[in-house]
Amino acid sequence: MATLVLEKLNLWYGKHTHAVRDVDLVVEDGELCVFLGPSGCGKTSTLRMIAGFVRPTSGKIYLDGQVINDLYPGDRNVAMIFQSYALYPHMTVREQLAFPLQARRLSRQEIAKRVEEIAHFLHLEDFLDRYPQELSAGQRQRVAIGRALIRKPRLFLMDEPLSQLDARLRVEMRANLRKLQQELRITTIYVTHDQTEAQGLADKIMVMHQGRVQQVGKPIEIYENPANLFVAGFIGMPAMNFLRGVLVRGERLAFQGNGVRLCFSRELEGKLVGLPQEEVILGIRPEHLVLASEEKEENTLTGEVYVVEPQSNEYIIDLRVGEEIVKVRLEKRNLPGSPRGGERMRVFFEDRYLYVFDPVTEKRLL
Amino acid sequence: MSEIRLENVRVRYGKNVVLRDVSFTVPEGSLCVITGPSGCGKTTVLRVIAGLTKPERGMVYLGGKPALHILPGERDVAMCFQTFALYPHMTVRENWMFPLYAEKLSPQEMARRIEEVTRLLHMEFLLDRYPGQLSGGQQQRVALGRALVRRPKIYLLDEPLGNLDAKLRVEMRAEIRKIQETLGITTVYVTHDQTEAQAVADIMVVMDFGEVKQVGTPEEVYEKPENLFVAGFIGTPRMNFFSLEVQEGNGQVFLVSQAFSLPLDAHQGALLRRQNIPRVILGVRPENVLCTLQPGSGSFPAVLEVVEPQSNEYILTLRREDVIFKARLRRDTLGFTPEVGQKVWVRFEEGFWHLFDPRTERRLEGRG
Repeated sequence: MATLVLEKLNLWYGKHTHAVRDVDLVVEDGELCVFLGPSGCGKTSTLRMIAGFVRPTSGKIYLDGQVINDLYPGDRNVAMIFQSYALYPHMTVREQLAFPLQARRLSRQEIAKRVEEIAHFLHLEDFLDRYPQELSAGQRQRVAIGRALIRKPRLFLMDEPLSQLDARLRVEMRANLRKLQQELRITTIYVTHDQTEAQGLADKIMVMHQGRVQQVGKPIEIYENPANLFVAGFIGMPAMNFLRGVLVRGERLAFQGNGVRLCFSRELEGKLVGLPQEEVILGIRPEHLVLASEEKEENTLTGEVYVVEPQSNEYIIDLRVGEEIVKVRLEKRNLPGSPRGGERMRVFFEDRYLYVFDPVTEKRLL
Repeated sequence: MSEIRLENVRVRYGKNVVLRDVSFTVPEGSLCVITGPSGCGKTTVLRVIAGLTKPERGMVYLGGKPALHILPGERDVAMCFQTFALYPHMTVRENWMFPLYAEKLSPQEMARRIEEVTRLLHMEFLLDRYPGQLSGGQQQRVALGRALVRRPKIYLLDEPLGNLDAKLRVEMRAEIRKIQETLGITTVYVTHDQTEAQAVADIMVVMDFGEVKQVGTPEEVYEKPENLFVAGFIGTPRMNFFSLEVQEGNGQVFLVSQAFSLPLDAHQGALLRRQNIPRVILGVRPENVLCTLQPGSGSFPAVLEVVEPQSNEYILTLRREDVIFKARLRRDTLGFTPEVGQKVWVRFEEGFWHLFDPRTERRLEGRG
């Protein structure tokens, strides 16, 4: 049971590398918070400060209201799970689970009882006498979690725990982990560079870039309301399409980009007219574009099919619009047949699916 | 002519048979992707085509001619690896020149080839950089370019995007697809990533344990998997499988387990009746598992165990008795906000039921 608060946390490595900049964050009791960002964004550095492996250069870390900056890692009562699980190859599951308790000099009966409890909870009862190499990836993950859990930590810290698994297993393990965490209700920090994983797992996501917090929010919020260009481009796959250009104010407002001309519905126009900027970046997600009839003018892009990629029940289509490539995700069942290279295609987006960014500040305007 | 044809190719490493009767044809100018889990033999197939591994049995035809006796260097095949294998002390231009020296081309011809590849790969401003000064995607392009300058008849790519991050992989795969289309070089591409395979392939060869499990277009392989392996391997989250008993009642055929009883449509019912099969495995892809809050015809109740938002979709883990399965549904058309512990009504979308014979693991019907 723990609430974690980070206050103006900064970390310098030497004089030149400002790895973590003014990070503020509240993780509520029982929440799973994902630190997400590309490599080098400061997410693992932040985790390491919480674990106590590095000291923040400035700022405070509170666990349940208590400042823990000066506590040794071993005194923080946090448990960490690594990429490699780091199980002892020469110990059975039972021995692995008992190990942290033996270090604490608990009685043999107490240890046996706790091991039984944990094994039951993690469905490991039948594997207690096996060695790590005799277990599946999923079972190994549960042993690693069990070994951390048996100490009854206040906080769980996980650094890319699924990154060693193949794509398919990762998707399965992710759901297992989510379910387990919801049952345990232990406050958890989870570090990953994989935005699909973050969306699937998190109660709350903290997106980081170049040491700074870009946005904190629920997965759906971050997907639907990205705060800036970085978040918009980082969340979602294939990435959001960005079109650079200017808003031309005439009788009707239009967007003029790199060979792309776009006019809008009256309602959207009303919102765009109010923007002080002339230069903008428009953002439209591939999944928010749908086939449009030839008569439709507003909120449409017309282009030539450039690349077609089948993907499960969808096609991902690279559409050449002017000088830009716009990716479109269409369900196969909504198409008359497989689209062919060179074909003309017109696509439409609803008003609510248009994002507008300032090219200078990269902040979201609409 | 650069069609590639393998006939009953068998390769053994010591006692291990790593390829068993592998046969498939890659028509001239098309892009064939070999996919399967690690250890399935896909890279060995590539090595056989390149001439680096000699099959114990079977034939390889390149451009219609038997090729087993042709040395690797004389097959006019270019290979590109996952690790790029660029020369770190050479600039991009020098990396590309290198294979051309060996071909003893005139300086003019070399310059022409380099220019062509530069344009194709958009490397205009990067020719004088060293690999260490390039991003992952750019290094990837240099590696592709080095194979391309030779103008090979056949292009072999082994996990060419394996070293790139997820985002870049999605961008680069479209580029590779486009370059291959433009050049029309017969290409064999190996990847363990089935999403990548679907995206770039004209033809997919799905392999497991040294055997070819299915050959087909990405659409065929996804919509009509020929066996349980392919059904489970292609698509993510993977297809849900239910082991069910076939029963008859009121002139209709039902698929029954402790968890539920599903009426089959007339077509599939007749098929099972004809074949007289006692048990089947029903496969339903997560996107064909429909959820509502109200019961409807053909629906059964289930409890939501895990809710994972994913872009404009939810991936839901559902439980009915002891059976756990997944649904992948669009948020905008779902009509409710799913919550853990909630009871929902589930229906498997008609026309998207895949039936397999549990004894042979083969697909039972022709409809997708």
